[in-house]
Amino acid sequence: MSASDPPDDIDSEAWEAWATEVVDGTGFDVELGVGLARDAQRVARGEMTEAEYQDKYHEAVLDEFGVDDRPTAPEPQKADGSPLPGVPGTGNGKRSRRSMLKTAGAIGLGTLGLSAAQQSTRTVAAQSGDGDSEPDVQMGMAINTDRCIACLQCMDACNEENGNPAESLWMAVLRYQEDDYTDNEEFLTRPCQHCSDAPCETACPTNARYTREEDGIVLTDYDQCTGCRYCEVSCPYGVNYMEWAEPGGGDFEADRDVDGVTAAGSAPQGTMGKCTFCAHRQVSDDESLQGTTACEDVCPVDAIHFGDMNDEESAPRQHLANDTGGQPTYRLLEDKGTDPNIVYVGNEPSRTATQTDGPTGENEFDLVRERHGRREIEIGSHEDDD
Amino acid sequence: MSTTNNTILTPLKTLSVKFLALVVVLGIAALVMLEAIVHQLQHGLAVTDLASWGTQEGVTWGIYIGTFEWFAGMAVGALAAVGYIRYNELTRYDIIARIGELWALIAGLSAAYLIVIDLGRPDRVLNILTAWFVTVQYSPLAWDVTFVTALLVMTSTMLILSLRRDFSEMNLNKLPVYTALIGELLTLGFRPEEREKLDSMLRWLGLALLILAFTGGMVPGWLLGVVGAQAGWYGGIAGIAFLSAGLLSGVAVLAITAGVLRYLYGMEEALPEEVFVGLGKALTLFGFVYLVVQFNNLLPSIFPMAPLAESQVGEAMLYGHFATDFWLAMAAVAIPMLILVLFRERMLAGGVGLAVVSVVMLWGVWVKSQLTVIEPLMYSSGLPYEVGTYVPTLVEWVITIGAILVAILLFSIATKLVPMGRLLDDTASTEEVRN
Ligand code: SF4
Ligand code: SF4
Repeated sequence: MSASDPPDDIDSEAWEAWATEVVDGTGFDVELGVGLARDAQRVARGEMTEAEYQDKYHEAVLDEFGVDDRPTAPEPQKADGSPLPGVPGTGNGKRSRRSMLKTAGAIGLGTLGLSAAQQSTRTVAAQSGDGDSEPDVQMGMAINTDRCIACLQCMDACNEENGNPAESLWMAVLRYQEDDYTDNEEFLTRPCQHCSDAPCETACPTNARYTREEDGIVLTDYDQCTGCRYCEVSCPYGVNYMEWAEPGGGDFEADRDVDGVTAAGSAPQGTMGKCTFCAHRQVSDDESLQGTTACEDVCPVDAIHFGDMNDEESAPRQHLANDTGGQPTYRLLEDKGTDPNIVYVGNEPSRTATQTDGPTGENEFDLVRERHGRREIEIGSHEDDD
Repeated sequence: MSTTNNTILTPLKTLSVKFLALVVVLGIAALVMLEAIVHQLQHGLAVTDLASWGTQEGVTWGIYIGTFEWFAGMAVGALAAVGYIRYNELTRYDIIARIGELWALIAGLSAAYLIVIDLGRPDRVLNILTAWFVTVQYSPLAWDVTFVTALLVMTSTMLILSLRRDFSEMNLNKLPVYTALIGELLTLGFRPEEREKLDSMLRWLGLALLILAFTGGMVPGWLLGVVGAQAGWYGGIAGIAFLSAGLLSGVAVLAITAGVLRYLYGMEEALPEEVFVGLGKALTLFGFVYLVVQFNNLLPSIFPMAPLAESQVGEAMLYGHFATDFWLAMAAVAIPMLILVLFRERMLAGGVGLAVVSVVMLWGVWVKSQLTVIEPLMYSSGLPYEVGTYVPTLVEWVITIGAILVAILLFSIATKLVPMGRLLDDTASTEEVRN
């Protein structure tokens, strides 16, 4: 978000100056950038059609950037150049399942005449505005597991911050070993991946699981969730924690309210909790908290970098650009098609990796893996079973 | 052919001590279950052994959902049987259709009830309905709610219309007073000219039930089948696997009920041997199809070319952790099926034999339903988590078995309230000539 707000009149000099300053910071062709921005405003106001906009700049954008990768890049066209019917503009030329669904959602609502339905607002919000269903800001993380020393401070800080019970490990550091004749123990720092194509949302029968449009964070409306756990079974990462009993965790001090939805902090009994990217911080009045998470703050080796994945200047993007130390980068279980927003730096755990024994936080911190009242977990079950 | 089937009214007209004892026992079971439900409502799902998959190394769906799948399947199977009988106007199986209507309704209700029991916030079950207009476009759980609702509505309609016809053929004065009252209510404004229209409505409604069973009937299977995160669930055969289990268990529950009714009330004429032969044939076929589908679903996963996650699930089922349960379940379907093939005539003489093999088959399907739900969650794939554990608690057992016993209780009470079929003699006999 820019510090100064743009002047209203796009034809004024003040606007020109403001836009020039913003574009100048990117190091790209200023004239083109300002023109793009001005006409984008016109499109938003309905003074120009998207097609006109595309036509006008397609060549120039190609020249400048080598590709035309704008969120509203020209849609697939028929041979005669007319647009294909029924193909909604969904960003980056690739059509995500989520945006497909949302289009379907909006169309469905229209035909049913239910635009006022309470549930619809969040889903349809994606369709309004600039017509681009991917948020401009997409919060995410770059996590450098090569740096991780499994001190588990992120896990502890997360539970403290969110007032979670000891067994709800929204942030978990998994210890594992590859079957590669080395004794190397590796770590996987695993919060919710805040997927852009989140299967947990598709599964949810109450619409409680949703993506916050402002910043792409995946949240749970605690007032809406019925605790059916369909989100949990459909998430490939195992990051969801149902509150089976009255959560006996610490206190959550911040406001649970995120734009009028109860979605921050620990989940109440019978509902589903998971990492919120410290949503209460993102909506906090305290600017120093915005754009930060508790886990990132405490990490002693600076392995966690939180920020807007669409912004080149953000901490995660900067880390990925400059600090990977030659380590590979990857997204977890990318083949599941969830489009996760956490990029890892380090070795990806293989499908045959096995968990290794080691501190999971019981000693230093107040963390456990066992659900309260259930038997103790023994490591090594995979081998035992063979 | 003798058309005397007066015995059809015997369950209505008798009230034995044995029956009362059964109701009392089942009633006590219902109370115990109620106690367990109150306990669960007070303490939350913490009283179960469910836990999150992942670091908690549990399974998040357990025997409530497994039994839900079983009941939902039973409802679909009963629905299909009713549809088939009504559409083809198999008069001799009329009583089976009535039993099926009642079971489809009761099993559907039991399934819905178990879903609510499984919710962390059962008080919010209505949220599923208020969000339905949006979520039905993508959430398979919302489809499920839709399907179960459709099933309940269509079954009730079938039950009401067929009862209207059956009551209209009876002398209400000869029936117990409460049954007569129901009859009175259901035949309100009945005119004899309506008979023909009713007949054709039942027939077409039967076709609609059949279609529903073979299309929407797969939805509870898709609930698991579309979940890409869980190896062992995801795949194109999930709907078919569910349907094949449903057809088997649906027909099995009809066979059990018919056998028990015939035995208890001496309904030899109303339930002639041919009916049991027919049911036995259906069970043999559906048992065979069930086994073929199950193994088709599983065997590819243990081939060396199969993906790792799938093979873990398949191996645990076929010769790992769950092998005993799995093979017992398969034997519970296969052996009765073989018995039916080999000794059909002798076994079926009284219907009791068929009831016994049906119970065994039903148990087998139940066990496999549990494994289907639990196992992939336990053998999670993808990240380095441990294999989960799950041992249902007493509360879970009490509520689950309670749900089954309450279903039996409901059916038992229903036999005292509504006739089990139509009278083929006295007043209506002339109309049967055309058959
Ligand atoms: S990691 Fe799981 S819970 Fe988080 S957004 Fe993705 S699918 Fe949903
Ligand atoms: S547990 Fe809650 S958030 Fe998850 S799918 Fe069910 S209702 Fe939605």
